[in-house]
Amino acid sequence: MNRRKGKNTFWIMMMILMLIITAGFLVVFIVRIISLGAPVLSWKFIVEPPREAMTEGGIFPALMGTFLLTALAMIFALPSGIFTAIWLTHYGKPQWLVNILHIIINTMAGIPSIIFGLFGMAIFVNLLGFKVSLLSGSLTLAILALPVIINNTEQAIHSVPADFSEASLALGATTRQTISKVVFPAALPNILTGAIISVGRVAGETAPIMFTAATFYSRSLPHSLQDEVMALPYHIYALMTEGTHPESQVPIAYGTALVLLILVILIDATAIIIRSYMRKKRQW
Amino acid sequence: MVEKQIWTSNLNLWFGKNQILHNINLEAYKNHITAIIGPSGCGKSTLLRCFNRMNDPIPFMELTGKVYLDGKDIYAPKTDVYAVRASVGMVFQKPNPFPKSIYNNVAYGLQIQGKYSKSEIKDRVEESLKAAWLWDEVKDRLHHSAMSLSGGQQQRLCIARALANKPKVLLLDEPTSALDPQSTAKIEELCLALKNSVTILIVTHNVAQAGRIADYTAFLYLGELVEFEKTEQLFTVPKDKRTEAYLTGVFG
Amino acid sequence: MLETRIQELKQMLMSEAGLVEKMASLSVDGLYKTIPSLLENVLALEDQVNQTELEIDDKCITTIALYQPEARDLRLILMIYRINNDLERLADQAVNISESTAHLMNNPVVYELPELEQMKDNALNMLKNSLDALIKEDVEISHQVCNEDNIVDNLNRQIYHHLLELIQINPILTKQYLHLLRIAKNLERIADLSTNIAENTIYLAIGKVIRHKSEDLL
Repeated sequence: MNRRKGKNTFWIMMMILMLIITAGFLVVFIVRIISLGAPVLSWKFIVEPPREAMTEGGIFPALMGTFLLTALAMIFALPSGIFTAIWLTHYGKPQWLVNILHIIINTMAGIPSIIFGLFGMAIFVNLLGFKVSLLSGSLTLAILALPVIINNTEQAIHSVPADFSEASLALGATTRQTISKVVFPAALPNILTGAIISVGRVAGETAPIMFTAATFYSRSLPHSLQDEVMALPYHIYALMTEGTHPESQVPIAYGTALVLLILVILIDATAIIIRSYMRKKRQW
Repeated sequence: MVEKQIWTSNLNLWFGKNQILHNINLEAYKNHITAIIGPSGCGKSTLLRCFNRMNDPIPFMELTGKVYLDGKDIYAPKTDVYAVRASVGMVFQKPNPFPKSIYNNVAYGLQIQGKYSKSEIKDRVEESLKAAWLWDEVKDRLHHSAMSLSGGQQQRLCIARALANKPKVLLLDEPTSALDPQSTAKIEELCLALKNSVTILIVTHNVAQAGRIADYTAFLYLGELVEFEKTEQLFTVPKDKRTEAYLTGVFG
Repeated sequence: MLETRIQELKQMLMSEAGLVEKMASLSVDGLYKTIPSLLENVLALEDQVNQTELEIDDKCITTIALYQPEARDLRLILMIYRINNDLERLADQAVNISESTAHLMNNPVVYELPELEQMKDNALNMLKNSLDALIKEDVEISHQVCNEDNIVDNLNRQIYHHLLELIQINPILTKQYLHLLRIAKNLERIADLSTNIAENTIYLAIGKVIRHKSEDLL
C-alpha cells in the first residue's frame, strides 16, 4: 500500500514539476516582453505614426493596417467558409467528393504560412495583377483562415443534435429552411467563437503578408485596396531585421510586440467569455 | 364503416443490400388507432417512416411499391414531399422540441409555409396546445423556452407542434418509451381523444399499450407483416403461431 | 378504457340478473295462480339470458387480454365471469320449474305441501338478496345468504319425506307428486347457486375465499 502511495506521490510531483516548467516559460516570456516593451508604451505610441526613420513616434498606421487586413480577410473568409461547411454537412454529394474535399481542407490547415505567402504572391500579386496591396494581403490571409473556419463551422453544425433537424423535416420544412431556422441559429455561438479566434490568429500572421501586402513604411494610411499597408507583425520583423538604429528601434519593436500580444489576448478572451456565456445559456 | 386513410401496396425497402421490409400491405383506417408491434430491430420504425417519406434522406435507401394517402401515391414522381410531411405528422421517441420558445415551437410548421398571418398563427397555436392538453399548463409562459418543460410536457408539445399543421395522419414512434408511467398514461388518453380528429399510427414495443389504445394491431416480424387484425382478435385468438409466440413472451 | 369496460360488464350482469329473477318468480308463481303462456314467456326470457351470457363471456376474456387488470379489477372481472355462469344455470333451473309447473297448472295438489311455499319463499329470497349483495358488494348480506342454505336444505329433506307419505296415501297422484319433488329439487339448486353468488361476492369484496368451508369458520 505504501509502495502504491509512494508511486502516486512521485507521479504527482513529476506533473507539478512539468507544470512549473511550462508555466515558468510562459511567465518568463510575458514578463520579458512587458519589461522590454512597456517603457515605450503610451497613448501617443498607439495613435501617432512613426517619425524619424522609425526611431520615434508611434505605430498607428501598423495598427490600422492590421485592423484593415484582418477585417477584409474575415469578410472574404467567413461567408465562403461558412457556406462551404454548410454545403459539406448538408448537401455534399457524392460521398467520395466530400471525402476528398475534407482531405484537402485538413492538409491546407497544416501548410506553413510562408507557403501561403508565396502562393499569394504568385497568384494575387503577379498573376492577377493586384500587386502588393491590401487586397492581395487580405485575400492571402483569407485563404489561410479558410480551412480553420470550415472545420470549426462543420464541428459547430455537427454539435447541433440531429433531433432538431429531424423534427424540422418531419414538419415539412425544406433543408434550406431547416438550416436557416434551426441548425444555423443553434450552431451560431460556436461558429462565432471560432470566427473570433480566427481573427486573433490572422492578426498575428507575418509570413503571408510579407510579400503580398506589407511595407516597411508608408507615409499615410491606405486609401484604397490597392495600397500597401503597414502591419504590426511585419513591423516587428522589419524593425528587428532592417532597422538602422537598433538602440531606439528594438524597444519600439518590443513595444509593438506587446501591443500585438495584448490585442490577441483581448480577442481570445472575448471569444472565451462569449463561449462560456453561450454555454450557460445553452438549452440542450 | 371503416375507411382507408393511409395504406401501403407491396412495399419493399432496402438499405444498401439489406432488405428491411418485405412486401408490406398495411392499411390504417380513418379516425382509428393502428398499432405496429414486434420485436426490436424488425423494421417497425422504418415502416412508420415510409408514411411520411422520412427515410428519403438516408443514403442507399431503395424503395419499391406504393404508399397511398387518400388514394394518392406519395412516392409518385413530382409529389410535393414537403406537403406530404405537413399532412402526415410525426412524433419521435425522445421528445425533441426546438431550443426556441413554446410558442415558436408550435408555430414553426406554419411559419415555414409562409402563407399564414400572425393572427392565424396565434389562433392555431392556441388550438393545437389545447388539443394536446397542454394549454392550461403553458398559457402564461408561451414565450419561455420549450426546454424548461418536463419530459411529458415536452412530448405533448411535440404533439401540439405536429397538430398545428392539421395533419390527416399522426405517426407516433414509441412516443412514451422515454417517459414515466404517469406521463405515459396521459399521452395514451390523449391519443384516444385525438383519434376523432386525426388518424393515428403508433409503433410500440409495449404490447400492453397496444392493447389499451389500438383499434387495430399489426404484428411485424423480421420485416414481414405477419398479421393484421382488430386488436381484440389478435390478442385473444391470433391466427399465426409467430404472433402467439410473441404475445406470450417466447421472444421479444 | 378499463373502467368503462368494467362498468359495462357490471351493467350487463345486472340486467341478466334481473331477467333471471323474473324467470324464477314467474316459474313458481304459476303454481299458485293461473298464468297464461307461462312456459313460452319463460323460454323467451331464457333466450335473452343466453344471449347476454355469451356477450359477457366474450367481453370478460377480451378485457383481460387487452387491459391486464390487476387486484380488485381482476377479481371483479373473474367474479363477473363466474356469476355469469351461475346466472345461466339459474335460468336453466327456472325453465325446469316452468316445465313442471306447466303440468301442474290449476292443480290443487300443491296445497298439500305447505313446505314447498316456504321453500319457494326462502329460495327466491336468497336469490334476491344475493343479487342485491352483489350490486352493493355487501359482505354481511352475503354471509346471511350462505347461512340460509341450511334452512333450504332442511326444507328439501322434509318435502322428500312428506311426499313419500303422500305417494303411499294417494298413489294415483304420484305423477303430480313427482313433479313437485322435481320443483323442490330445482328450488334447492336455486338456493345453492345463490350461495355461490354470495361466496363470489365476498371474494370480490375482501379477497377471502370461503368456498367449501364449513359455516363455523364464517
